[in-house]
Amino acid sequence: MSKGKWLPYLTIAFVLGNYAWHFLAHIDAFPFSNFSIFSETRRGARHVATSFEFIGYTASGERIERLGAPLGNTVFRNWARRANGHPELQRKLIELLFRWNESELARQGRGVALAAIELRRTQFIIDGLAAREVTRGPSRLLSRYER
Amino acid sequence: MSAKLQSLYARWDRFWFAPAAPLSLAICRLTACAALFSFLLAEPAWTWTSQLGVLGALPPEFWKPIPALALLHLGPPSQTAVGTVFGLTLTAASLLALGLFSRVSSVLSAAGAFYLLAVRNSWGKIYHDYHVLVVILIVLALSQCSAALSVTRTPAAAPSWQYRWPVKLIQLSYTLMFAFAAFNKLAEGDGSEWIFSENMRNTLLVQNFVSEPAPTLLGPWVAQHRVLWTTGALGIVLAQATAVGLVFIRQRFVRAAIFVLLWGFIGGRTFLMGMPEPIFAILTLVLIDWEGLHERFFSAAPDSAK
Repeated sequence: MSKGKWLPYLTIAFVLGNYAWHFLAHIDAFPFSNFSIFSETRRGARHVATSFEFIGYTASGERIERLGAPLGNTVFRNWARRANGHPELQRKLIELLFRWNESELARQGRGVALAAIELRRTQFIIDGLAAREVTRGPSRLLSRYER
Repeated sequence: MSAKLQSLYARWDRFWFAPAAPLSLAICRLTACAALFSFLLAEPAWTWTSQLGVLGALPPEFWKPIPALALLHLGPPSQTAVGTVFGLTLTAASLLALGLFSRVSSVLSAAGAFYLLAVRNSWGKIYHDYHVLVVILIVLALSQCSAALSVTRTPAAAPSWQYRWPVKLIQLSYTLMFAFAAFNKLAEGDGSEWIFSENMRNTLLVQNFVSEPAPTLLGPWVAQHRVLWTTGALGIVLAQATAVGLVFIRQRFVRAAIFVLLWGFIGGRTFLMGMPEPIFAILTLVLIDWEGLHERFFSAAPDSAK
């Protein structure tokens, strides 16, 4: 090895070594991703997908479709599941969801106060050439008064 | 050392350390900065509802640090911490793009991007999209990346081995990510299932009707024709598997074919699935043979042509 090339060699070994290790050990850890998403296959099987929708309601009954959540609806749904049985944590989550959506609506020029948010889980079956809705719910209504 | 080993070592040495002009490395620097800006400006810490802006307000009970952060014993970030790191990273990336204080600005950009992306990934969901950018920024921080295309008026740097290895390592990091993705797809089932089963149609339908708020124009149409979705799946695997060839192959026709596949794959995510990934569109620029293009279009005409 020529003098002065120790840093390049060290960097090359670090980067390629990490990629090789993550790949061989089937680890997908930041920042050496081996990008395995969308790799699953289900030949011939019916494909089931789940969507989590959040729908808002104002005190006057106006319905606001397609609300969101910090870091995405699926992540929020997982947090809500983990908060079951922990009233203080649930209160914090509900507060966060209301505040986040009201801020986001205000940012879009719709300054409304939400009275309730419905968390709806819908399952779809990909059957033939359509995504067929098969089950809806259980949906859960979070009211302002739970905050 | 035997002749065979010597020749192998010479090839290895040439691949990483043959003298190169600083242009390609400078373009890697600009590309990485553009990719970092695309992340920072899409999720600015000054907007409370953005992914970075909200991190300081999330309940600490849901903090689930990724291994890299757990090793550093870092807890959930405060709003001030995210805001400060965001500001520093944005400033450092701007200086790095200009080629100013590159020793410090490249280290700060890499460290800031690492922290911001790591804390975003530490709440129960891993976002794969920007991982490779951190690796690229680390390589840039350890290289002489501001010897060209810099606002500081330095005389044109002579070709050196110092400008070649970082470019090759950046290109390999980016394309290996795709190569592993292709391997993961082909390793499922009998090796062809990912391409020839209903998988691609299902993915298109889920992305268009379940995950995304509104279907794309082309996705549902492609999902109706087996020949189209199968060709698309084949194209994706070919693009991901052959991208690494751009690091080694010099033939223009082959390189052009791989670029068409790669851009098709990136465009397909946008137009068929509604999943635009600016990071891939930007980072693919590091695979272009910039020096070859520069030589072809901007070099002075040879004496014989006068």
